[in-house]
Amino acid sequence: MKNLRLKSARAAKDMSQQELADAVGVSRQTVSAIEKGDYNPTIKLCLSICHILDRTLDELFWE
Amino acid sequence: MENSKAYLAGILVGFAAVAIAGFIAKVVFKKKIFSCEYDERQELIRGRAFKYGFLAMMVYFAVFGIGSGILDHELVPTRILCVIGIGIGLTVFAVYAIWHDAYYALKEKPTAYIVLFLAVIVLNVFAAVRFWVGHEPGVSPVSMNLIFAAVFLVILIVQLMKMAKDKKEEGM
Repeated sequence: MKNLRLKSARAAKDMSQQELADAVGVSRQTVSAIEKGDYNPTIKLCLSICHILDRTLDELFWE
Repeated sequence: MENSKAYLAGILVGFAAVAIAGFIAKVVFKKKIFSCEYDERQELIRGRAFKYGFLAMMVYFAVFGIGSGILDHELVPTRILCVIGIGIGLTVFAVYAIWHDAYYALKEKPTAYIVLFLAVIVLNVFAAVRFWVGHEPGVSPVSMNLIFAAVFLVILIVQLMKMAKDKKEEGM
């Protein structure tokens, strides 16, 4: 299932996939896979993304 | 006596070469000239790629073992067949990893590797062609060069296909 909340949170911060990927230390393809719902990130990566995007886990990853 | 001197010199040169290579590798990795960092998704995919590559190799060697038991004479030397097995395992690993964006480390760019793959293909084909000039065509030690050329050719083609696919998806 696509993670549109992550995509919109990233867009709200005016960040590209590459910028978010660099900020959390993963590849651009990994960010793309998370947004497309092709990959379930670990809690560690989820927290890093939340920290960078100033959102909570619930806001970005909880169904 | 002369032979033993040459043997000793060979061993010394070998040890020196390994020591120098080890030192260079230590410097290179300490200064992070070549980064080999993969993210968690890439590690996962690479694990799967290793598994599939290993399974492909196991299947090949099982077929090879059964086949050599049935066939009385060797059509192709055993060492060539073993190299084919390694080539199959390597190809499966590389193709799976490339197709799932897990072959290159985080800061690596595929373009440099494309040049490297091309160089490996050209050098191996060149070595095979050079050997065959003046020799009868057929299975020979340089067949291994052709096997590696074929492996890298497949990897290169998959890499180019993947780049084309990514470009197409980015345009959508």
